[in-house]
Amino acid sequence: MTEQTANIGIPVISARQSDSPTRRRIRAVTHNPMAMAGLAIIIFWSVVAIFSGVIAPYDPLAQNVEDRLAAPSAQHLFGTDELGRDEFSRVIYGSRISLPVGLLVIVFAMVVGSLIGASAGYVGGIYDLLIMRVADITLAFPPIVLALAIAAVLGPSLNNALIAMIVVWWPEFSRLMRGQVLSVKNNEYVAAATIIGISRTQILFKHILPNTFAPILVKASLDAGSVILTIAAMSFIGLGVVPPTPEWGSMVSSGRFVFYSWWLTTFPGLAIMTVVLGFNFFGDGVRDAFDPRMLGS
Amino acid sequence: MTNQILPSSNLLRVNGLVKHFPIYKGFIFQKQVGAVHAVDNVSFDVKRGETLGLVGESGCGKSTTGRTILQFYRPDAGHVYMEDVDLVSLKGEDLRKMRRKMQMIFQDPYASLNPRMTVGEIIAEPLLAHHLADRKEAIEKVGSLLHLVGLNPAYYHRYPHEFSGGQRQRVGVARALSLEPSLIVCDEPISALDVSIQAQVVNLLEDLQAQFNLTYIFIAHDLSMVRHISDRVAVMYLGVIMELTDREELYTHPLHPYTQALLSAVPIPDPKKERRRQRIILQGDVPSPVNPPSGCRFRTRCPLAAPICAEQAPEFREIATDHHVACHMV
Amino acid sequence: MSELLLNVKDLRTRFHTRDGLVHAVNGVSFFVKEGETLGIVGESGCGKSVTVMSILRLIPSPPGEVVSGEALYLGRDLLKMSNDEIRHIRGSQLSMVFQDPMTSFNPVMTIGHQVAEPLMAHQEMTRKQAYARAAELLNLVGIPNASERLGDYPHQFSGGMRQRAMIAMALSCNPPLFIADEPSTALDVTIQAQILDLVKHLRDEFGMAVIWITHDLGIIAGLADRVAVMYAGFIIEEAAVDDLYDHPSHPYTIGLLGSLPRMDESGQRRLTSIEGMPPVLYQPPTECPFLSRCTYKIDRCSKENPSLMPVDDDHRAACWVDTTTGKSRA
Repeated sequence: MTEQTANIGIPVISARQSDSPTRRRIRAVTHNPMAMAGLAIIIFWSVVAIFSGVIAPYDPLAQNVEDRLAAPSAQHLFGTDELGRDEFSRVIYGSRISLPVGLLVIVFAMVVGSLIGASAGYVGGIYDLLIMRVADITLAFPPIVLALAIAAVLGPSLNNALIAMIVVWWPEFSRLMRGQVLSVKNNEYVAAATIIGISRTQILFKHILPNTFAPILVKASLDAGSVILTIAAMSFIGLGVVPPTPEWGSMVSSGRFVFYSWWLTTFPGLAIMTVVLGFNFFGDGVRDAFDPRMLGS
Repeated sequence: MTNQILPSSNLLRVNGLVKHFPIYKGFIFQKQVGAVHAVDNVSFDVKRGETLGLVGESGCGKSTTGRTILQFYRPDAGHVYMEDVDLVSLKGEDLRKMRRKMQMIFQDPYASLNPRMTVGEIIAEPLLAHHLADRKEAIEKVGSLLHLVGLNPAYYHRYPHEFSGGQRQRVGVARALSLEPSLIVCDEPISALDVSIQAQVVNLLEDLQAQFNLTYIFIAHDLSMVRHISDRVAVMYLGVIMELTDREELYTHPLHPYTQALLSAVPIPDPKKERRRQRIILQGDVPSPVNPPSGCRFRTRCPLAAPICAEQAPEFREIATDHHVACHMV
Repeated sequence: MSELLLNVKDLRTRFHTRDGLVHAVNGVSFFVKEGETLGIVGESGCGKSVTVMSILRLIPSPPGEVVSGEALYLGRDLLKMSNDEIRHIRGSQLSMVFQDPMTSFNPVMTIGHQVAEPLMAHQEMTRKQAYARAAELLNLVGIPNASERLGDYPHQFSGGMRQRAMIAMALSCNPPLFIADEPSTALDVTIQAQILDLVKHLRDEFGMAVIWITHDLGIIAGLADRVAVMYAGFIIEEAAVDDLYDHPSHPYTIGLLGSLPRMDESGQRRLTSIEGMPPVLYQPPTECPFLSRCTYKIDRCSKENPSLMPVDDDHRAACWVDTTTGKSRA
């Protein structure tokens, strides 16, 4: 009988009624300390990426064989690697790869995936069937394995790694978007628009798509962390960013051969961790903001 | 059926309307395994300026009938003549233009308004879509429409979630009115509202009808409200009209056994009358519209059922002037 | 004079919501005598469900909180019992049926198991006895071939049948008090008539007391002995059923009855609507909560919230105005 307790109609009418749903959601994010902490981390790394040249004390590629594998000190905050490059500068410059790459992959996968998914859901029929089977096949592989396979076929380079990631990521957005369109399409206000005499394209763009974005945005912000992690993993294996470009994943990878120089794996690893955490915190906040319970009625 | 010249008093003429929803099975090679017989051979006329009540229990096809008349669902057979134009033959842009003349008020005032549009945008949208106003004119028109339905014109920039159910339903009414339609299909417009709010909306609908000579098809399951608002009433059961006549005639001399049972089941807010009333309690549930009973669809629950009822579907006959009944036993 | 079964005194329940403290039930007192049927009428959000949920200790906490009050069942306070005691009482003494028959059942357990479970728990029956009794009960509530359908899952039952099965479950331990929270609202009128018929029959046969919660004044007219009308978490009028319908005293009750269209009424009377909406109480009101919608109001109404005052024998209303004369009640 306990499940019954949820059935009581508690009137929930907001005291602040005159806000648009969007504004209330933004407020829900800005009033969420975890989400704000996440955003702070993202902003921090973005600033670091933009001003790498100013912040980094050394050229990340400059080798200094005499100073190789030096432990962290006042001169080299994070120590130096096996070629004597300043690890601190390399971590700073590494943000120029990880952040834009993560965002690029997510944005492309989101746009391409959503368009494909939305068209499948709205058009339906054989087209829908074909698209969704292709998506299913792609989703059947573990993402990292498929991304590695594609990158391996295309050859190791940052561009190829990006293509591989997008190929792996779009179906998730497609499936989500298609489901969204199918459910929004059945809303009464879409029926109302038809009966009013709004054209099909206008219904899609004015009544269906604007009401489908919420979970897509949530997914994008939650996935950004995973994408950065995957890129790092690919670089770690040697199929992503090629040396000598400083990239966190490949830095961790090269550091594991010099076992006693703990700083070579620790600092890039921490960088990866903070960025991923930042995106996850922020993503959680966005998800909570789109939770219908946040909106009252 | 040919396109006939109609007497001018008839705004709408529905003739032999059929709507079945196919049921598919299979993964890649889908095949149809059956159909929901939502509306089966429904015919009636609606006079200009009158209110036709369409009543029945859930799943009887009354809402589908309303939506098929408006060509939201395209019928599988039959014709719908609106001011002598057969809507069923229209497509694309021609049909879209005809939509101006017929509008709908929805049951759920929460689901029928796009949550991302302001109330003003919602009411202005039909005007802009049919090029009846430019943006500036539309804003003015929306203001007067809001006033007309009893809302403050200053609500233009507010969102639907800021309103109560009754107020949202008024927004829905304003949207339907914006195109100055002749026909409005009211699909259970008050069943989601509280009792004290229902009367507000019904009074509004009545006032607007008087003011603009509107024609309503009022779909509802609340028989008391249908009696209150309708001029004529059609009773539906499992996709078929069982009885159609004037309001007074239907409520005082119901002929079809289903109508009689339905009316006797409605509670009256008067304890003394309630104690005296004899109810006809129907046995069992409404059969599935996927497999409707042979012959008369009501026969499985009918107290008067005879062998002929299983063999032959009763004809929808005019028994007295303007009193149509589909029953072998009447 | 029969014995007092349930006596509720000054019950107050609040909910902590995102927008502040909502006062849902504000000092409600009522009683139910053995074998008597009490109707609690009100619109959504008036606190009628919260009242009985509070008594049965089914309010989720947080966000809910029963702040004060007593609910004496045969002299023992339900609100002070241990969890085990109240669970036992809920299963065997006070049983409840809810509005939505689908969510009230566990979808992955058979109907038979769910009806038999309380019998095994509270009446120490063996599995075999309990299932046999479950079949009897389902038969009693009019489910055909009951013993064959014990193995069915809830989705295999129609809405009306599920509601009957719920009633069977509630009646399994012959409870002295049966509480029904809008159990027939989601059902069609003919099915609703079946359920009401069944409850009246069972009530008369077993001498149960019934609390029937609804927004439908029609149902209450035919079922209840006494009626309590609720508004904004207060009981605003309480009377014997005939008295309430013949001489409604509170402006809200008068308005509610006037806003109902009636099946037994011909002609187009304009419905009297109650303008505005019920308030959500973030503060305990210092004025009459109905003030803003009231057409009888006098100065005093905005200064003091009236409590229930005697109007007649066994008839009380919470209003400063004598609505028959329009003058202030001393």
